[in-house]
Formats: sequence, structure tokens, C-alpha cells
Amino acid sequence: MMFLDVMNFSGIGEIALPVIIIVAVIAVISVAVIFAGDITNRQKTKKLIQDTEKSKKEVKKDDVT
Amino acid sequence: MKKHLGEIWFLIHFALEIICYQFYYFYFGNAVIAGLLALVYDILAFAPQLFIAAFAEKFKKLSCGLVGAIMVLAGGACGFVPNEAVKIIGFLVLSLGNAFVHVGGAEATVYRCENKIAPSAIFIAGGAFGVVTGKLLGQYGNPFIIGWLIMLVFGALIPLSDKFKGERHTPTIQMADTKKPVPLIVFMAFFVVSVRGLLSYGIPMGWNKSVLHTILLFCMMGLGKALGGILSDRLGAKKTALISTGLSLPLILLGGENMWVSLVGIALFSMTTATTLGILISAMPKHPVVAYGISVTGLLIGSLPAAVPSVKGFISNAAVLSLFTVICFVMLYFIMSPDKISVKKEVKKDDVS
Repeated sequence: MMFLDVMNFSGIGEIALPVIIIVAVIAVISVAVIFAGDITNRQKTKKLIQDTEKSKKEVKKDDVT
Repeated sequence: MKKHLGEIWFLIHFALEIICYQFYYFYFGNAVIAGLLALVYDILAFAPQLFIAAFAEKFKKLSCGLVGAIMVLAGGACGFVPNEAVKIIGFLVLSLGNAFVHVGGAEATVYRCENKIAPSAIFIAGGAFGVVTGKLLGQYGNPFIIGWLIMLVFGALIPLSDKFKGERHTPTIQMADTKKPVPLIVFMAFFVVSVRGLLSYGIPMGWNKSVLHTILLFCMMGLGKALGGILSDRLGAKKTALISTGLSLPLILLGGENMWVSLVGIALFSMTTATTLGILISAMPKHPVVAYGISVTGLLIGSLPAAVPSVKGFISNAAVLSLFTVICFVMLYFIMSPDKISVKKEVKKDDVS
């Protein structure tokens, strides 16, 4: 950014620090929630696949009997 | 020729930044309104890129690159008029032209290079070399005609690139884990770009004291940006992004007073540029130029907090750098798809079992 270069701005501002920390906390929480959601979804999908396979096997057994 | 679109646009981007920065430093470097003009330049050169990108996606026959180059040269020519008002108007036209040329470069490299991110990364890298060249040319009072002629010569490459304009291939880059919601991927990639934009102003550089140091700094930034794309294509994007993000932090923090350690850290830090662009493109492959526009907007927004006047403190910088690098690392890990190379290995394992 030309403006930041010209005005010699460098260093992440201490004034901006509280704002940055708030954003960081929000980001950490959202990442954690998203991860948790992702893991739950994966487990649900896995269980669904297992249940489907189980029921398929049961249907086959019923056909045989 | 088509194979070298990245290199062609590297040169065009290089020339573009030379003319812009030389114009600014040559004519307005010591002006009272220098800060205001630099701010206006940033607003005109960065903010409209997303809109121009959307425009370019809709009007496929329009050559943004050529329109931009004409604007840049016309604006630059105003510098030769001995009137301050004309010079300022010229600078505004030049700034807006800059935005058009950027979109032209993005369009050429993302639409005609199929599944490779390296051409886009090489195109982007040209800017870093141009910025430092233009800045030095202007600051040391070299005649502005030099920058203008460089742009004229390299700008002539745009019609050559436009020869392939009819060939628009939807990019097949696969960097984002598209099983996850696309808005989430776009948001996280945008967040990473913004944060990286901000962090670049928090890199401790106590060693940067001479012109040679500045040249080295910009060269390593450019090199890192290009390498990010090349390594992503060759080794895998996820591997490249995570290793470079993770490794850059200790090198940047330890390199406050050690130039070489810092430069390697900065090159690694810059490598994320290509991967975040690749993530955005693969998340929205039907609108890759808009994806580029989003990454530029992220960069602009991320840089804004850095303009807050402040007391510089190493501890606060280090804390913010570390915290955000970890967040970026986790986000990249989450939104990126496994590298094709490792996927192939897993498939082979499955075959064996």
C-alpha cells in the first residue's frame, strides 16, 4: 500500500491491539465451532453409512430365511 | 507464447508499478498533499478491482488490460504537462488504469492457464520488483520518461496476450476442500488474506536501513510470491501453504535484527499469496477473476488497521503475529483439500489393502 509506505506506518498498532485481540478471539471461537461441527458431521455420516450397511445385511438375511 | 503468459504479465505488472511509483515519487514525493495522494492512489488502484473483475467476467470481449494500459499511459503523459492540476488529474487516471491492468493480468492468467496457479503467482510477483524500481527511480530524480517508456514497451505485450482471449478455460485448480460450504471457504480465505496484509506491516525489520536492504526486501517478497505458486503446482498447495505459514513465523520473529533470517521468513510469508488466490479460484471456478478481486479487497481491508498511528512495540507485534499466524494455519488446514500427490498415495494404499 503506497499510503502506508509513504506515511512510514509500520508495526501493528498498540491502539489497534484491542480491536485485533477481539477479532482474534472471535476467529478462534468460530474456528473451534466450525471444527466441532465438522467432526460431528463426519461422525454422523459415518454412523449413517454403518446403519445403512447394517440394514442392508439384515434385509439380505431376511431374504435368505 | 500461451505457456509464458505468467512471465509476460510479470513484465507488464513490473512496468505498471514502475510508472505508478515513479510518477508519484517524482512529481509528488515532497508535496504537501503527498499523503492524501498516496491514499487516493490506494483507493483508486485497489478498491475498484472487485467491481472491474465482475465487469470483466460479464463483458468477455473487453480487454481490461489494454483499457488500463491506455489509461496509465495517458495519465502518465499528463506528467509532462507543466501544470500541477493536470498532473494530479493524470495521477488519478493512472491509478484507476492500474486497477484495470491488474484485472487484465488476473483474467489472462486464470482463464488461460487451466489447472496451474504458478502463472498467476508469477504475474503477481512482478509488482514487488516494479514498486521498488519505480520508487527508487522517482526518489533519485530520474526523468519520468524512463518509467513511461518502460510501460509503453511492456504494455505492448498486452495485445499479444489478448490473442488468446477467445480461449477461456474454466480453471480446474483444486485447492479448496469444496465439500465444505463455499461461503465459508471464501470467508476464511478472505480472512487469511486480510490478516496477512495486516501482519506484513508488523514484521520487525530493524535491519532495513539502506537502499540495498529495501531492494533485497522487495525482491524476496516477489520471489516468495512466485515461488508460492510454482511450489504449489509441483509439491502440492496444502503442503506449501502450511509449511510456509508455519516456518515463516519463527524466522520473522528471530530475524528482527538478522537480515538473512528475516528475508527467508518474508519470502515464506509471501508464499501464501498464491495459495489463498488458488483457494478462492477453486471455490468459485466459474468466476475466477472475481475471486482475484476478492483477494485484492481482502488485502486492502487488512491493511487499514496498520494505518492507526501507534507506538511500535516488539512484544505486541510478536504476540499479534504469532496469534494470527496460528489462526491462519488452522484456517488453511481446514479449507484446503488434501494435495493430489498424497491423495494418490492413499488410493494406492487402499488398492493394496
